[in-house]
Amino acid sequence: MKILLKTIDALCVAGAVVAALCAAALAVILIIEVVATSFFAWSQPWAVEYSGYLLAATLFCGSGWTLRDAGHVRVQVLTNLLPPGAQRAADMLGAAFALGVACFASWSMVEYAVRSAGFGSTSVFPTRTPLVYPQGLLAAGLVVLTLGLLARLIRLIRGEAPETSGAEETHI
Amino acid sequence: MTAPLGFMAGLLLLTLGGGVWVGFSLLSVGILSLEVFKNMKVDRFLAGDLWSSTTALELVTLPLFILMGEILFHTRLSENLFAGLAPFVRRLPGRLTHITVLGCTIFAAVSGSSAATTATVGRITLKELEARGYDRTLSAGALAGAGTMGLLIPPSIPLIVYGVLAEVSILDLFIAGVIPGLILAALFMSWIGLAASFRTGALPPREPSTSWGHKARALVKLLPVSVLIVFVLGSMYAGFASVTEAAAVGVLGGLVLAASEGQLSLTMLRKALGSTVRTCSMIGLILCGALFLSKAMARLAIPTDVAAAIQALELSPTLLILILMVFYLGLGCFLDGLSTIVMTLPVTLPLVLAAGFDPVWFGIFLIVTVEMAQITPPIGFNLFVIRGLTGMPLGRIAWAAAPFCLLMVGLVLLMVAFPGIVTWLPERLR
Amino acid sequence: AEWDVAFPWGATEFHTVNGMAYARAVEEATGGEVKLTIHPGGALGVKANESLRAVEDGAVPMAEYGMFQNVGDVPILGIEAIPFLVKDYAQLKVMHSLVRPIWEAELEKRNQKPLYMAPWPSQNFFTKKEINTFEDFEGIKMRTYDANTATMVARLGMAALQMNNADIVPALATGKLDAVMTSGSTAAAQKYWEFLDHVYNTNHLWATNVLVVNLDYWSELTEEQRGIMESLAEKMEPEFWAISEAEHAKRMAQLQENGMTVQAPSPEILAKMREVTADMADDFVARVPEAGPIIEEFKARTAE
Ligand code: NA
Ligand code: NA
Repeated sequence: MKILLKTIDALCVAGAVVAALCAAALAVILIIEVVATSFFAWSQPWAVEYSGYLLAATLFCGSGWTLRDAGHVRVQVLTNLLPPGAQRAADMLGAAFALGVACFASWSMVEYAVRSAGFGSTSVFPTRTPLVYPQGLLAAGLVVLTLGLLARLIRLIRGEAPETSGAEETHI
Repeated sequence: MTAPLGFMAGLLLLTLGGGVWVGFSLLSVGILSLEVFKNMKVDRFLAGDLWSSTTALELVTLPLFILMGEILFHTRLSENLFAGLAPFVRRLPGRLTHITVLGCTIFAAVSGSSAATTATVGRITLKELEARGYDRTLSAGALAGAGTMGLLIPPSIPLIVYGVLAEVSILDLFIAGVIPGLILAALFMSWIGLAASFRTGALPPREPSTSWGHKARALVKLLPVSVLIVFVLGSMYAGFASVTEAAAVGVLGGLVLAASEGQLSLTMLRKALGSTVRTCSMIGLILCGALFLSKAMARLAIPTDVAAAIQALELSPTLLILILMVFYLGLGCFLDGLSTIVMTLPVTLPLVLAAGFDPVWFGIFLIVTVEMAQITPPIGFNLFVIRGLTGMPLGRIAWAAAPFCLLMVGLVLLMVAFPGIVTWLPERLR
Repeated sequence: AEWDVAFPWGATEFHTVNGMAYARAVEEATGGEVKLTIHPGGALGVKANESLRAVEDGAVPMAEYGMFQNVGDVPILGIEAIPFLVKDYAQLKVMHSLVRPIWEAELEKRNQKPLYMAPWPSQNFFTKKEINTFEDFEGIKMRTYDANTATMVARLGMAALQMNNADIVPALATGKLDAVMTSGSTAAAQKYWEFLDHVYNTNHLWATNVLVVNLDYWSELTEEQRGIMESLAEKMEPEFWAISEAEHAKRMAQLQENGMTVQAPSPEILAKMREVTADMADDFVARVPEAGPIIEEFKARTAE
């Protein structure tokens, strides 16, 4: 079980690194685009298309890590009124519920990407990029988030702290 | 309509109240209401929507402006900004609290999004304000309210979307947003002045008066931030950068500033990127939930039914607009503002035009209601952004933002009473 | 059956208006048994270039989309958009009569059935500066939206800028962008006269929309209902073509009223435009071999 949790944590961190790199790449591509279009009358044929893909990766690849880092928002006004035991039970119930939703969403997205691969769907932009790659990246981000929820549920059941404390400092 | 709507509201309150993450709660409501009330392939619909929402090019500025704010956070920009402005605002009621409103108004001229405006300006101002002894609740409220002006002051992504859908001149819309935007800024600043004067402990002790030489030296400190603003604004208005690319120029500006101060390092970049990822993940999950929920509502014909119900009332124009304001305020409690426009416009626009309203006026009206949606609980993106910045509980932030929401309601009433506020400037410039 | 129909275009766009007329006719003719709800403006979140896929997956029962916007899924849909291949509505009809069986077969493989097709009005360049010679194209920053238009624009010596829809109007206002290409309908709807002065009826490519239905949903209907929907589509399609043709003249007049100069490019410029893009048809055939015989047959039939 320890190994599973460690593996999931490592995947979450890896996802966050991917998301960070994608955010950086997004900035770099668009800065180059400003220079290229303003001074060289040239446009990177991938700039607009890939900024969409990089956006998707930035939004979701680090989601599992953000969960572990207590970065996702939830309303705890009511659950905080409960006694500690019930609070833990509510926390588990919430995590299990979210895990169900996340499983459905990530399974849908994985299936979507797989079908794109099967059809050989490509983008309509000049790169004609096979869509399975960016869609697969988004699906991977969702799967990591789902695993993060699983890890959280396991930790709650084992009575461990589900989140890393000290949300101020980043870990990537 | 009542059964799905009741189911949605019940499940939403149950999951939100039970402490489920907001994004998952919204997603679950969308998924389950479609599974229960509509015979369709929900998984396919969801996957297509997730892909389409996360690659929506209108959102590209969000991570970039957040990254810019995170980079600037590691520079002396905010320190210098406050030190530079402090000698000039000591007699102004509310003093440096106004920085958030001013900052947001200026930043709104660069950014077309509200969450990006809030995140960037908040990153620069909130900590410094608190360190200087200003009341945190008042600054958080001011930031929540003023951050929404990213939508009203051009460029504005919701205005562009409205212009395309309603076939209204986007230029007219941009021009029409300026006066209401400035009125709103003035309303916010008046309120801050009032609140600060009446609330004890809202302000730190007044800074001592300074000589003119001192003031001149203070002005120099404002140089870096002014250069940065001119750099980003200029890149866009001079035609070098598109609205989306201006955000990347902002990142570049931040990096240059950091380098010039010797703050640029790998550690700093790692920290900035890490915080960016955290904020983007947080917003991304909620946004996808809200966007999917709005599509689920469209497929359950809820907006159409509500509009038909409103139409059946045969209201006077003024009453119609007031009812629509309530309608949008209600939707805005749970949905993202942009998606409410896309979802409801086909049904509300004909109603409003038939009642004799100007489409440009209605566009601005919609944007102000969308702005309110950013700060009304339980789903208000600016509230979430500020929670991420400060760690304050959502309830307290929403409470702090409430007066600013009321001021926006006031602006709408002003616009209803004096439509010229909106229509005069574009007509004048024709 | 009560079906949602995804439309990427706004409620007042003539294609959407056509769709609403079709929906009304279907509802009436089936005695309210088949009810189509048109969701314009992308309200269902189905993007124009993801519509084919959405219908195939059954994410939505029906949708209308531009065929050129879905060539990433079915490449042969782009045949009519080969630059300067099809000259006018009459030729477009010839092209469709040749390619439509193949389109239908390809779309059937993707679990959908076309009901009717209706073209956009013919295409134009909208520019800030006057184009008097072919060389005037040099360095103009023109917005393009796919591989096909990017290649064409590059061949004409212009800079092909891919740009997000929401960025276009601000970019025209600030001078980041010098030119766009689209139909008169879109130009009038977005009031391009606020930023651009010249309209050139280049007629450089054709773009047709198709209204499709997912086959799983389709098979749920009775044979009679399917017959009604098909015959209504067949009956209304020529009306929609006529609307499209009239739309061009109407919009050109509107653009002129608002101060734009509307003209055809000079024969010399046009000849040069054809010359530099001539091999794009071969490139298309190299990628989509089944297009080869169709293009040959089309050329034979339309030769003077
Ligand atoms: Na703005
Ligand atoms: Na809200």
